[in-house]
Amino acid sequence: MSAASVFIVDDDPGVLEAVTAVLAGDGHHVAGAVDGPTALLAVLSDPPDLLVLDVNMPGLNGWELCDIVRRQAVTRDLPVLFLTGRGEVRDRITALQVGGSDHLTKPFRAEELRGKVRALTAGSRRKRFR
Amino acid sequence: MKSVPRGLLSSGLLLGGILLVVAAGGAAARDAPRLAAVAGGVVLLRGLFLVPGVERLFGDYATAADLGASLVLTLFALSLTGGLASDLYPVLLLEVVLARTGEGPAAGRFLALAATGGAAILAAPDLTAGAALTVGTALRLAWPAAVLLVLEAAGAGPVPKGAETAPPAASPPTPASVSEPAAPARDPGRELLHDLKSPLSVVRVYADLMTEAARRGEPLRPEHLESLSNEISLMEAIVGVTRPAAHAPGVRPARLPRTDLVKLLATLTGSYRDAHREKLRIEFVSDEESVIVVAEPVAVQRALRNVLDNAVKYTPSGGQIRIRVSTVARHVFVVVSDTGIGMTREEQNRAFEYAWRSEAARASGAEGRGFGLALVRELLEEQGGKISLLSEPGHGLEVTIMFPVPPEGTP
Repeated sequence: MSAASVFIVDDDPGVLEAVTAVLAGDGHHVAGAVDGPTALLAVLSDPPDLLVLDVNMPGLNGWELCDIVRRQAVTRDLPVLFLTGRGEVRDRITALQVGGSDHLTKPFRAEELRGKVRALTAGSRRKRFR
Repeated sequence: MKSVPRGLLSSGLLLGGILLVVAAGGAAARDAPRLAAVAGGVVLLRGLFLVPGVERLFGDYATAADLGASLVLTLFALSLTGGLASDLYPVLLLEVVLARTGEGPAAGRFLALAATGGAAILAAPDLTAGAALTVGTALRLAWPAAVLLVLEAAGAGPVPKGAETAPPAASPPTPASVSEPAAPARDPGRELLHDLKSPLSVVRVYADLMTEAARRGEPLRPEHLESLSNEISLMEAIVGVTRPAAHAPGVRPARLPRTDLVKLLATLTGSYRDAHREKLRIEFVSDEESVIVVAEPVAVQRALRNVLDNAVKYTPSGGQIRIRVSTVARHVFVVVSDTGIGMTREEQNRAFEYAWRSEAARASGAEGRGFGLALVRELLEEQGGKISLLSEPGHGLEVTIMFPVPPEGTP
């Protein structure tokens, strides 16, 4: 499996650390932020291969962040994985509407996360979940 | 839809639609060149989007750009051929249908509707100038509007079951719905479950990692075990379970848990400062290099994080958060003051109730479930601490946390 750069945004540092432990263990380069504005600056200045987003965050929520990222030329095709406790149908639809590529509901398994990351970083083109 | 390029598909549909209109209206032979020019213009434009790189140039806005350019080109074709502006209607209707059923963003749909409105305005002089309102013209003008109304009405309905795997057919997210995740009626039990999902995820992930390491015959990593333990403590705190005594009843523990508040707050301040550098000035002041209290570090850290989260959440951009640690008369004080929205006296009295949020907090637009301060007080009181608030609305909040200084000789 080829190493990818993954940027994760979650206001819970515990989740940041756990996702980092899984993905860094697989050889990926992982960076993260606990709030949207910081993440946005980091992602636009150095776009990763995959953006992993929580939804409920102070300042700028995951949906808003994804919507902004989708409008920027440098990150338009960036795959976005929503990693959130909000797993209801309407939340998944909103994630889709703002340009999310895939969705993983908390609590999740390490292998599920790996599978999604593998699928989303396999191609350079953005994929939508359908 | 996947195998057919979008530009080609929409061109075909448009051309088909135009021919249908021509056939249905029994267009006279003299109309044919004009309609052919319109159709040709549209197809030409659509063809442009098949050129590699052009669609990519517009990205998600291909639909919107497509619509705008279609409109301009069609108008041009009409001006050359002297056609009625109302000829635009069927074309624009098809554009709207395409925008609604395709992957176009809200902007594309909005533009489509705006363009249709514009066409109606353009059509008005046709009607007034020559008093040429025949039944046929009226129908040509009316039917697309009727179809649009039906489409809009259908789009306003509830999202069908199974729609999670289908492209969005209706109700694009408005800025409001994106910025404010839908808030169901307040249900503390449900909110509690939601709060547990993140730590549960973390526990699940570390359990998986440890299982995988064990299968490979590798030793367990201490940092994974520590993280697992921290998250379990956090979940216990969230559900209000007191940590079970780690020692047998009646047996004095060898050593009570200790927390160095200066070290902990210096670390927390550093991470909050990094995370909110652009928005807030966060400073930490202590007269001493180390201030030890008898308390579980995980619980104290959780409580302080909650206090800092609130300060960050309710302090507008450009504000300041100040954290001070001092020891006065056998008591340690941690004071977190911010320049945020503050609270009224009545709100301060209710701030420690579960699932309660002040008016200003709700109006600020910041997300929250109102568990923060209630949880903080519970965590701190379990550890022998106390918390109090001092505030004036609009002039920030000062949170004071107090711990007793451990007596000398404390194990």
